[in-house]
Amino acid sequence: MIQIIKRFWHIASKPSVHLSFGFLTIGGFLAGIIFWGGFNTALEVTNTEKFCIGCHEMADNVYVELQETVHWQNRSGVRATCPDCHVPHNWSDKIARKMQASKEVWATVFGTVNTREKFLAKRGELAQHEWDRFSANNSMECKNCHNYESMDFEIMSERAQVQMKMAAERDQSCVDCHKGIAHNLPDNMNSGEGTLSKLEEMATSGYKAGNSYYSVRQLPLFTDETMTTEAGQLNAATKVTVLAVEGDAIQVELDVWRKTKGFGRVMFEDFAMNINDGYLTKEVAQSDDYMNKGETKIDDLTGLPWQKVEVKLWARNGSLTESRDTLWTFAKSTYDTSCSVCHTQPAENHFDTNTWPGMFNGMLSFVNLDGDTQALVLKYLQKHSSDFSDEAH
Amino acid sequence: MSDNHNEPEVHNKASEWKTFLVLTVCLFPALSVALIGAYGFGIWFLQMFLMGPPGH
Repeated sequence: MIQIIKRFWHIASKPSVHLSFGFLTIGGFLAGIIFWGGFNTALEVTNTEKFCIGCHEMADNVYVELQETVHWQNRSGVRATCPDCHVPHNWSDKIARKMQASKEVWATVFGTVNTREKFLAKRGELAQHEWDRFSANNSMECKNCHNYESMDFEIMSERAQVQMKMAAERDQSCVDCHKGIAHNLPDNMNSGEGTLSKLEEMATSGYKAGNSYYSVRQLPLFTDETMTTEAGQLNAATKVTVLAVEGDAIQVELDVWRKTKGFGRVMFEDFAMNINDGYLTKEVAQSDDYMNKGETKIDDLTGLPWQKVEVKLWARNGSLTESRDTLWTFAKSTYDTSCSVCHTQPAENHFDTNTWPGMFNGMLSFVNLDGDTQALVLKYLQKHSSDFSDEAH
Repeated sequence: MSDNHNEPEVHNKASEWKTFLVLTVCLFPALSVALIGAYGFGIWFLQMFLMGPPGH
């Protein structure tokens, strides 16, 4: 063997005697072209869905899940394949990702996730890798197709408009909110966000007409029991009285106040207290079909006229609870843990009801709370502010 | 060169061809793949320990 290498080196290290200079150059040049072509072809072949689902771990888990989502089939007939989202397009990062796949080869060879159970147990960790990557590159792979600049906010639902406009302003990473859009979520966060399912767990069922309940999170409101026309949104921890239960729909009555300046779309829990109870669409807020108007008072501090209204709208049957206590417990622990990361959080009754929103919103960019939790925590703080506290502060 | 007794076997046309083919078909492609692979692994390890996930 050593003899062969020595002999090879001996020939290779000397000028050739029999092969011409031109031939060697052209030969090397052509071999180079063929190599680079082959290399790129190999790179492309390994960047296809067919190649990805060559392993049953991919084919039987994530690939099957994708087939139930909008990224597989939709009205416009555009679909995303595995590498569209999961392989960086930049060359260096792409090569690095190809090498990372050695881990996937390892897993296949040694059967790390060769059953559904093993895969499900690992899902949280695997998903977190992708989420980390998406938050580092600001969901670049999503944005190869979905562009904030090209979004027509006008044709979005009102609720989506609010969220998407805020996200667009900050050029937010898509996966911040849209986790689980193409594959199932890890078990412990099955409906959107981790806390959402926790909140839903607090909901009771079997509502009786005439009784009062509280929403466990922000809920869409509709104009009638068919639940086709959006009427607005109910805020978290908001008191409603159930008027009727019709299968999947429930009619609720909201006893709220609103400011009559402007369209009067925002509903508040009490006179002159900016405790948000939700909002109405412009059409509903300006129509008399859905509400009985009560007394009107002027808030001396702001000079704004407030009006008492009883709003009757429809909501989906569910997501209500009999008491706010469990919601407050959850809100308090979230407030304590999220806010104490950077500073000692002020006591709830350190501010009054109308000061809390400004304080709270100013701090929001430092914490990672989803919309429902934000709404709940803010309401918790307002309802335990100095206005409602017996202790003098 | 004349009395270099270390000079091994004859340096004929066939052996030059063989050497040329081994270099262009096997050795250099294999080396290139190894180098690119090493580069990829290098970036991956940097991402793991220093840089974090790719930011662009």
